[in-house]
Amino acid sequence: MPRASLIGSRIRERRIQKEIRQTDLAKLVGISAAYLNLIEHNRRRIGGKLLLDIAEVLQVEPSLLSEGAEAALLSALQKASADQPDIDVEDDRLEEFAGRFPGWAQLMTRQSGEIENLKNAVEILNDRLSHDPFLAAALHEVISTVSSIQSSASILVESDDIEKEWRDRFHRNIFEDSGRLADTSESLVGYLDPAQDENVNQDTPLDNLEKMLLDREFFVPEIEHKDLTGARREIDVKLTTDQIETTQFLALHQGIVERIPPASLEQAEAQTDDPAEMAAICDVTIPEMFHRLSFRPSSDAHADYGYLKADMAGAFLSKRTIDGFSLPRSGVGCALWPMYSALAQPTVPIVEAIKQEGRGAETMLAYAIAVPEDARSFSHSPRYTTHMLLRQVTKTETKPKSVGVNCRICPVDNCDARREISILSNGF
Amino acid sequence: MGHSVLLIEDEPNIIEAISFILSRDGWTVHSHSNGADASNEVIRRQPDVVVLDVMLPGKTGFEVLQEIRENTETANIPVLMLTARGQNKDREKAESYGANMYMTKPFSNSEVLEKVKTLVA
Repeated sequence: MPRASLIGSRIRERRIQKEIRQTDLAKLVGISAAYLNLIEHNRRRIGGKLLLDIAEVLQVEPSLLSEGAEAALLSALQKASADQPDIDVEDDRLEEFAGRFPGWAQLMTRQSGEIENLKNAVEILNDRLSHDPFLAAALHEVISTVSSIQSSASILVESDDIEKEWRDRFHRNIFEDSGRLADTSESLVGYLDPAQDENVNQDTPLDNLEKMLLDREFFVPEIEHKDLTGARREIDVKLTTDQIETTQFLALHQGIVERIPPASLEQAEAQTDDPAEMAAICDVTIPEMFHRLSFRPSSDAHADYGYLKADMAGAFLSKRTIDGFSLPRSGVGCALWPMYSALAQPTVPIVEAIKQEGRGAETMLAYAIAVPEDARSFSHSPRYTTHMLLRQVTKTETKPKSVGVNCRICPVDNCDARREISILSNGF
Repeated sequence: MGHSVLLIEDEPNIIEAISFILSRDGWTVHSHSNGADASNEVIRRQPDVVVLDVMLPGKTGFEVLQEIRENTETANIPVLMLTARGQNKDREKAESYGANMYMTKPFSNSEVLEKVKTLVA
């Protein structure tokens, strides 16, 4: 019997292995038990969405069901070979190798997969070092302090005729700087230390989700084809993100894409650059329009937007980063961000020009609004979420409000909103 | 009369050390520690050389440099940029914005003196 015609047998074998009753599996994928029985005895053809759904319930790669374990193994070996193009492997003897030495073949494919995972981990750590605003600020602090100590010490060593007053001053500067260096170093060690004990991938599920969307330039074709299960499977397999957050995001994204198709969005953007007006034109809520404007491929035809959604505790639920506005790696943002002010006046749209303190920051026009999520009845207190859309601007009518990333790495002195001592000396 | 230098840097102890070195060599040293109005200070002082840190409160050194180059009163003043990072990206950025020289922290005092002298030679 040809390989493909044994799909039913493989489903049956896997189902029994997982101790799932035929009636239960049939119910879970929305078909009758009788029909599943026919499939399992290879008397009905199966493919497409039904095969994907069954594979998901059985927690198995669809290709294992459709082509069998041998095909999956061969495919993994081919991929391992493709990853090392400089090694001339005997492609024509691949099947023979997998057949004669299946254990070795599996070992090889697993190691190839682990190498891939390690490469991803290294990439993430590289990104961390390059883009983490805390690390950048802390390292700058360390190097500046070391420079100061080096300059002062060098003057003391190299200048024989230095006056007592100056000598005392440089001694004091070195003493002050060394204390500052010790404090910053301690903070830095405290920040990096947890990474030694935990999995190397310190990114949150939200980070992973955003990375996946960035990799795809904010376009998920499975969503365009209304295949939410396929979209989630694809993302989970590739990035092992947290299923709840991924599923919630994709369900939300799918709904919004359906309500605001590309043509409608284009039409709205042609009429106005005010996101609330765009929302009215498309007959959607303002947060829906924020989401739609942010999560889409970059293009010269429209502005890039950053977006943040947070709950009432300030924790991020969704984020789209934008150049020129740093986000904290964890925790909550700066209390001066308009999205937090919006929580004090729900449903009132706020627009404000803001700029973060520090290097690389750009002036942003921030649109913010807080909305009830589940106003079901008068006897039920709704939860609120707050949303902020960011668009870079070159000119503003008034001076942009100075804001931070979060207190821990904010250099602003005498800030009324400070709730934590900054590790940067100016913030003490 | 000696040359003048304007040191735009937010670390007070670095300002003090560099000021000491340059003053002993006969330079008139002025300092400024905020990026926000630094370019106005350059216009006001008209120094022979500007030593400019990249990481400043208010505005980055790159933004200040851009303003210096865009103003006809200051466009030709030599600028030595200081930064805590030695990355090529920053060096390229400084050069593209019109910095005459570039120096990474930590630096030696003799290096600062030598580069500042070269800029007015």
